[in-house]
Amino acid sequence: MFNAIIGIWVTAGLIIGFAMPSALDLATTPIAFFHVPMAISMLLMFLAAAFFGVMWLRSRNPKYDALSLAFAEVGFAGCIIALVTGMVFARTNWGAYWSWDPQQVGVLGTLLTYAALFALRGATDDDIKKRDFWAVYAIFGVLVACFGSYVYRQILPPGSSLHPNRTLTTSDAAFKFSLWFNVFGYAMLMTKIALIRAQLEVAQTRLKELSWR
Amino acid sequence: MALTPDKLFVLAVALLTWGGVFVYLLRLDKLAKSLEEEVKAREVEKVSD
Amino acid sequence: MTIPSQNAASPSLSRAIWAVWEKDFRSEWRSRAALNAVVLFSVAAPVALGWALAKQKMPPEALGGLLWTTLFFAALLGLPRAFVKEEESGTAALLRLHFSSDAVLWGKVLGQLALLGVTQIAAVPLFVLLLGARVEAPFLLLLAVVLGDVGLAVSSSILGAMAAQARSKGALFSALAVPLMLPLLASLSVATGAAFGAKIDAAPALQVVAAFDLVLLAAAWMTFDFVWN
Repeated sequence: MFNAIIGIWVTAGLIIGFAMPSALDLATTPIAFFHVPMAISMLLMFLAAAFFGVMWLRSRNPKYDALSLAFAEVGFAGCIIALVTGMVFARTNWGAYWSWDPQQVGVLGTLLTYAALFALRGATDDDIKKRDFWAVYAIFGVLVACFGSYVYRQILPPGSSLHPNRTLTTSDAAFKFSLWFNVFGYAMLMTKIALIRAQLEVAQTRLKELSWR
Repeated sequence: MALTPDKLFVLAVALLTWGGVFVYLLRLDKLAKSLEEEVKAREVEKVSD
Repeated sequence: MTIPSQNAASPSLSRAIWAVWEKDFRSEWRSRAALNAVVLFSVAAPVALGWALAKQKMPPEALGGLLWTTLFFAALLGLPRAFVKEEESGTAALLRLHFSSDAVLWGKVLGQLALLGVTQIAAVPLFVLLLGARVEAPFLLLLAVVLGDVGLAVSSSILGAMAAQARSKGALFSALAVPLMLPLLASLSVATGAAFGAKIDAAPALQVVAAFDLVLLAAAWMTFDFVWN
């Protein structure tokens, strides 16, 4: 059921994105309705990863650790997609794929943070310690994600970044609808993928335990 | 930004890609479910041993 | 064997923090391993920059970034030692036995702060002198350095404790610390650029650093127990 809703919702979102009239200078190409929702859902996924990290620390239930891992992984994939689509968008709007714009650098920093998070998990042997470290760093990581993807370009002197600031505050109704429709669709899709991933992770842990018994 | 033919082409490619991703997602969902069932069955088996 | 210690009757937190700090201070004073490395680096880096950029007029914005890049890499050299040496010499278990995790965290944070402070007393004036920066707002510079040090000390303490218990400690610490410290580095460079006379508003950057410090402090305080025990 949930799958069917996601399928219809995202398909409709894609078509709406393409059918939108060119809204201001924010959406000169339809990729705007893929890039921005992807960036927002990426942040949501990282927030969920931190939240389930806290849940693991509080409850010691491995299910929450699996969920945290899954959401971080899906968020990481979303981060890469946001970065790549951002580069394509930058090519059409700013004339170059990569221009060391604060926005691009910020998202690159976020990507590095989560890469470090995966490295930390791989470098710890103890099963409990591994999950504790993961949860703690996931909590710190979401701070960097918020800073890198939004706060950084705000504190720099105006004009340092070419990235538009009005994406989320514009009052253009059609643009707003199309944006948030897509945000909701991709957030649902990524949540579904994360749930499947968590399910697989739990199954893997259980199989490992079974083989030891 | 009306739907010109070249835009339609890009939309078609995007929809096809999304369709592929979605079908794969459905398959993965089924796989994960059956795996979970199997693990449960094995656990019951182990306990009864 | 029972260890006769004054900690049996659980001393006040401040006494315990002081004890952790003093222990670190003594062992550091004996070898000066971390201090030597950090001071040498933070002296050598401005000299190297001076050589490389000889006779070039640097805009204040760039100088702010260069100063923090120097301090940042100097910090990465010395800061992981605090926990790595405990694990390597096997004293971590003793520390766990004797002190509460809060005492260890704040003792280590103070130790890192002392290390950063001592190096920067030497490194910042030298940097200003060698690279010809004009300090137009000394208090702003001081504020940026203090706020930055708090952030570096707190994040390096909790990350150091994690990295020290994992495999490939040194490399992992850098991998963990660099992304987490990037927001600090970025904001501090902006604020310091303003202190060197750039026509930028430093307030939002400093606010971000202060907010980041506060969140780091709170998060470290709440999660250190899980990392350490």
